[in-house]
Amino acid sequence: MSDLPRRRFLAGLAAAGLLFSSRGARALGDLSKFRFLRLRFPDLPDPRPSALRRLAWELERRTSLVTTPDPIELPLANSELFRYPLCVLSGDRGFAMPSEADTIRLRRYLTFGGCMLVDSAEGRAGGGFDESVRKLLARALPGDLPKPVPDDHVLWKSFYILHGVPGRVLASPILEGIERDRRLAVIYAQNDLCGAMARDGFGRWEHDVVPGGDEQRERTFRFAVNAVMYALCLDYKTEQAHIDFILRTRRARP
Amino acid sequence: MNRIGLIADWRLTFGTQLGRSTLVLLAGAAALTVTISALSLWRERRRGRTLAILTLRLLAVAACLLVCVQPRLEFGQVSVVPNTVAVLVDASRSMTVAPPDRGPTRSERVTGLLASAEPTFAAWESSGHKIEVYGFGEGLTPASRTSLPAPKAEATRIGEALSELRTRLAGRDLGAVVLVSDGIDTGRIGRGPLDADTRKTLEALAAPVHTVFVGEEELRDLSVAAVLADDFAFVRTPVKLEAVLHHSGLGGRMVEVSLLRDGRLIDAKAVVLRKDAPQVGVVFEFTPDHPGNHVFEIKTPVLSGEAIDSNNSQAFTLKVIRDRVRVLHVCGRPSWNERFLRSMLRLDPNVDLVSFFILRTDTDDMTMGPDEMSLIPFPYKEIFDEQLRSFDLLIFDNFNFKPYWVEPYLPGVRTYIEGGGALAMVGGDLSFASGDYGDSALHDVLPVELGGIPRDGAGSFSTDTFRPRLTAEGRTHPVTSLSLDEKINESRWAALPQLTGINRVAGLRPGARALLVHPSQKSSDGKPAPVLATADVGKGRTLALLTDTAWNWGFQAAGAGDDGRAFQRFWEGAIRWLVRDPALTHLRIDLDKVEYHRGQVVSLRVRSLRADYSPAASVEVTLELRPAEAAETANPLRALEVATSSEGEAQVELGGLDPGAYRLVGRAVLDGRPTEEQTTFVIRPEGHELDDVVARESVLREIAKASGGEFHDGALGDPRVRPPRKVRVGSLRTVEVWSNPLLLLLAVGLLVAEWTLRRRTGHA
Repeated sequence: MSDLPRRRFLAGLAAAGLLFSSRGARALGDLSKFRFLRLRFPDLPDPRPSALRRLAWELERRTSLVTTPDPIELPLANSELFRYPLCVLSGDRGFAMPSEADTIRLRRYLTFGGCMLVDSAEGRAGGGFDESVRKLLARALPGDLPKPVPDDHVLWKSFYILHGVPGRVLASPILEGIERDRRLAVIYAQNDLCGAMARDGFGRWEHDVVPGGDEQRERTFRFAVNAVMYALCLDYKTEQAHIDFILRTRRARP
Repeated sequence: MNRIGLIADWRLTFGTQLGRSTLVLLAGAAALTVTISALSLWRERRRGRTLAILTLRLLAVAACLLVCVQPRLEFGQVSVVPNTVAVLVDASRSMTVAPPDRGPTRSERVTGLLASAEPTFAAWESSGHKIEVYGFGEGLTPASRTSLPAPKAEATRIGEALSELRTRLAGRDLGAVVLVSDGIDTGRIGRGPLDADTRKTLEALAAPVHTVFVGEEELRDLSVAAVLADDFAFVRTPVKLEAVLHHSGLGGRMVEVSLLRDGRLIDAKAVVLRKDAPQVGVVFEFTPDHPGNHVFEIKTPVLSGEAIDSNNSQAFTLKVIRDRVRVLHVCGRPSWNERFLRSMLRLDPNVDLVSFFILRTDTDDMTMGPDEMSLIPFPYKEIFDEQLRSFDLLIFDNFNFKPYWVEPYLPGVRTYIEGGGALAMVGGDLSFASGDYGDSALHDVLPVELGGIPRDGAGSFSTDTFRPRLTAEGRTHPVTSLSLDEKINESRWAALPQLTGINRVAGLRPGARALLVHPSQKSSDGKPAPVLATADVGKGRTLALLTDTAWNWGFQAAGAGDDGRAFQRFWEGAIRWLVRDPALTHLRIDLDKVEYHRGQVVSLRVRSLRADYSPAASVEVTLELRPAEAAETANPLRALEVATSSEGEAQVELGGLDPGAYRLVGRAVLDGRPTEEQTTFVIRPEGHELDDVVARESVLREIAKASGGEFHDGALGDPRVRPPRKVRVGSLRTVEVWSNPLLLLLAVGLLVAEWTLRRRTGHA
């Protein structure tokens, strides 16, 4: 492919959706829509209650997803847990370990296809929340310690092309994860992703993003979009057709 | 043993009883006596006297020796035993070759040759030889000079024929063998040199083998002599087929060599026939795009003046199998249903998965530059035009075709399905009627009718929660068989989590089958609304899953304590059924081989299986045999009705089929469901007999030379025949020469005369 100016590329992408008159919020019931699940722990309040709703809105705006805007919050023991294959565990403090039955339930959730996005809002790496998360993961997935997600992982290109994990702060340059069946069952960021995405009822950002400001906030949204797209599409973007196209278009540019 | 006439005869024998060593001593003593006599005459100057004394001594000693060995003459009669002259005439199909001027064939020339050699045969017979004529090809066949076998043999086995001749004539004298042939040996000799077994046979025959060559000065022929190909190939894996062409008298010509599959041309190559290369290889490379037993044929045109036209093509079978099922998963929007289906497919080693998901539409934020995103334009042309046939299965997962310029390609998708492809459509708000399929080219290949169903609104889909119900058909269908046991299967389905929402349909398409239905909702036709339906469309199959929450059967079920494998098992069964996995066939036709020679009986076993794959007894199976390239509607060459035994099997034999490629279709009704199975096979017109029909005199020359025979070209000539053996049949009179007194007197007289002469001449 020769030089592909932005306008032409966008027109090309529109080939995937030109005449999209109505994506609409139609679906065969709520279960067909994407909805965030936040895991509820008794001593772990949601530090960024507006973030996931904002992210759901951004997903609708930026992608073809149809979402239910309000996240649902459920404890591990709830029978509805397995209706939502992507859960978010966020917090800014240490928390008590769940019961053995709930831990097993979390293990089944992650083993049978669920994905957990862990977001530390502590603003630092290695705090109480981090300690509790590692303890919980060690109990739920014994033998599978979180490992850094490599730079060539599909997560970095599942929708946007990204490098590095952003957030409200840059507490840790490393994104960690645990793989099950050749997929990330756990994605663990310590940079307060939700903090960068939280927005109050008046449309104001709730927290400053440092050190990168709005650009870093945008990158945080993109990362969150990538994480959701990865949870939904897995390694779709590693299929050869995508790699060939991306390499081709990059080569065509000076 | 036949004898002709008695002939008077005599012979000299010796009656001595002395042993061999004694005779040797006597001979030595005699020689010594003569030597001493000669030495004593050394100084004698008169040669005449010396000669006389030595002669007398020699004669005397000889007379004494005769007395010792007791010679006698036997007078009697001998009988002449007639030996056999075997005439072996080539009766193979290569003898039907005619010269370019369409003159007599080789076989016809042999007939003339033998007729003109009649005087020679008559002379041989009068000389005590018995003439036996055989035709040979695959074996030896007795014949006569006036009734030669027709040239129909599929092989020319000269070495083997000579061995068989030796066995046949064991214990009989062989005067000579006359071998009349074109020298095209397809047995152990081939193009020569002679093998060890044939050399031993020639030695054991102990008679000259005279060879008579029947060939042409000029011959025009082009043949597909051999095809080098494996017995099986993999779908979408390039296969090489190599044809070996033999040509003669056609140097400098260019011909087109064609490769056909099931009667359809799939490739052609131009080949130049060089004068200096009578053999030329042509390599075809192609990629099979769908599995099955296929009949391939490599053929050349029949050129003017060709010696024979039945060797210008070769058919063969190639079994194309899947190494992996190639699945195209097209999804209109990321969803959990898509995710769990992809999660399963990408881990299945038997699946080669290609996916295209619509991640962004034109109503989404379009402000990002291409460098910032990893999205690619939807490659609709590549998928639905160029690559479509490379897929075994298309999955339209909540995919609406209209926004993506796919509509012009839907007739091609329909053709692909009818030609043996498969389509699974998964429900959602972008699918079925909501995806505008009711007005598309696919509307009547789907298992469900969409006519009258609105695109939007409550009439297009429901959002209720329900647990689908297995239909009678669904209880045993491979797509819905979570367990082979019908009751366990039913209880498993009943225990699975509920689904949410279905796409509404007008009903089932004629011939389609509902496997799961809604427990309460009805279609427009008043029947239970289908949730899962299947249909056979031409050679292909389609499946409609009218919900996008089937993933509940896996993930949600696992949350409820289930093993979480129902979703995976459902899709595994669905894919195997959609792509017609042979293991799911309930009617099977197994041939004992896929290629036969002319005259061989095609033996096949028909097996009928119930839904749980146990033998289905007493099933009526209709078998129809057609040429492989014939349309399915063509009148069958043969139609048979067989019933399977209590073991669910029936044995069938098909004989008397002409050379060619055939397709055998079996049909039966199993558990109330029409079932069809088909297979192909080839009957070869000839082995290698006509691969290269240029006559070869070198083999015949070598046989003649190795056996002490003569090589003749085109005529019998007057070859040497071993004379008949004579056998003494009795003794009439015996004369004892040694017992005559005169002999004794002669010996004494000679000794006395020699002694007297010696003394008188002053010798000792």
